[in-house]
Amino acid sequence: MQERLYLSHAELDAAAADDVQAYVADAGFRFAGRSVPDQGQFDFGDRGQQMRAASVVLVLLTDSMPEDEVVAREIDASLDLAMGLVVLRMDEHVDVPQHLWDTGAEVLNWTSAVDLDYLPIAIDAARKGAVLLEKAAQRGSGSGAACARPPRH
Amino acid sequence: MNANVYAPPADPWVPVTDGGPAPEAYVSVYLSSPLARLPVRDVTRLEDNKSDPNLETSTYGLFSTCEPIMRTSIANRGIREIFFVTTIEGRGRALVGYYALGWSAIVDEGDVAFAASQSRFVDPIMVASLRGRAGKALQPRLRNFKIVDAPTATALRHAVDEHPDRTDDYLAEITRLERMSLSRTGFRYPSWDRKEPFSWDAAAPYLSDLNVAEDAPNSSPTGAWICAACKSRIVNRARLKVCNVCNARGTLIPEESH
Repeated sequence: MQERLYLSHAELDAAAADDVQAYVADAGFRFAGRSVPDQGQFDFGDRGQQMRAASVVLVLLTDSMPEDEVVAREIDASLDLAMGLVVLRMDEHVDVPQHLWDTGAEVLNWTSAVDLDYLPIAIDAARKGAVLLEKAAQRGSGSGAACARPPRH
Repeated sequence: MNANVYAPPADPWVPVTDGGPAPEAYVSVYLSSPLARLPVRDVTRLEDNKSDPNLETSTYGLFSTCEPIMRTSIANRGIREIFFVTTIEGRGRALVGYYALGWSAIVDEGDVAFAASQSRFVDPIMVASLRGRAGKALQPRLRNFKIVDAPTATALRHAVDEHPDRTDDYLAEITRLERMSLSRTGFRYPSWDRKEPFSWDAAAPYLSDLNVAEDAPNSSPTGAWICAACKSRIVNRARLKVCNVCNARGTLIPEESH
């Protein structure tokens, strides 16, 4: 089954997000929503509902993204909702911000054909990883301690 | 803490005997992560987080109880190379790298660990694509490990050496999986109750004081263990060397036989 994606991007990156959405849709993936949706494009309600309808969040990493509070909240929400997380770096010179780095999400470069070929596998692995680690968290540690996500900074 | 206190050539590590021409080598199969772009060990395996092959310290058998028979045989036969093979989901079995062993250490009675003087991990070389001695050795069904003769070891080494060294990329992928686990469970290795990465800093409880471990198998029928020292119950498919709770070494006993 192809995963349903949620596209997380800074408001300033709407045009780049359009390109990515078209590319990824051509690869066979469906979108449940995105940070700044065009009116009428998605038949779900608010962003939270759109995220819940997806299994993987695709984050666009640009110069604008690190300062965008909506994207930061969506990254946090992807962990809360046990969703996979994949990063598409639109410009390979942009550093991965710490809070995104800490998630261990796969970072792929939009300008790399090799990385784009790998994108469907990365999306699938991200979804599997989220499911697996949610199971691990629910079972607790080896000694039976509760598994709790570290506090956010 | 000075990490080198525990790294070779510090005690208890001793050089692997150079007994002249290279003898046989071992081929070792490990479980790789289905979540990783490169086939690193299965860091996030459910209730069985993997620590070997431990590329962070270039060791095998220091932190885990994996393959005790192979490790004993390596010591007894004076073997100086391990070639690593793993199955990649959807692609098949691949040769991925090797350790040239530099040191061994008796960490407990009957338990030997190895440290490599050189390690090299590369883009996976599909076993089906290997020709000659290398293909003949690896294409038959192989479960956990096997010995190969010196000419075959040479062929395998050449196959790996023909590819660019990506050991640093393997290390980066291990740390990425650790971060993924930490961000979602609060532990890099939840079944070990472990929040820190593996490193020589982490080796102290595994190398200090030669120990007489409890005589116990490597697996528990229930997947659970009882620590003979602190009585904690530990869930991990394979036996851990050190108790998650009290850090005592060699004290875990299968729950059923306790």
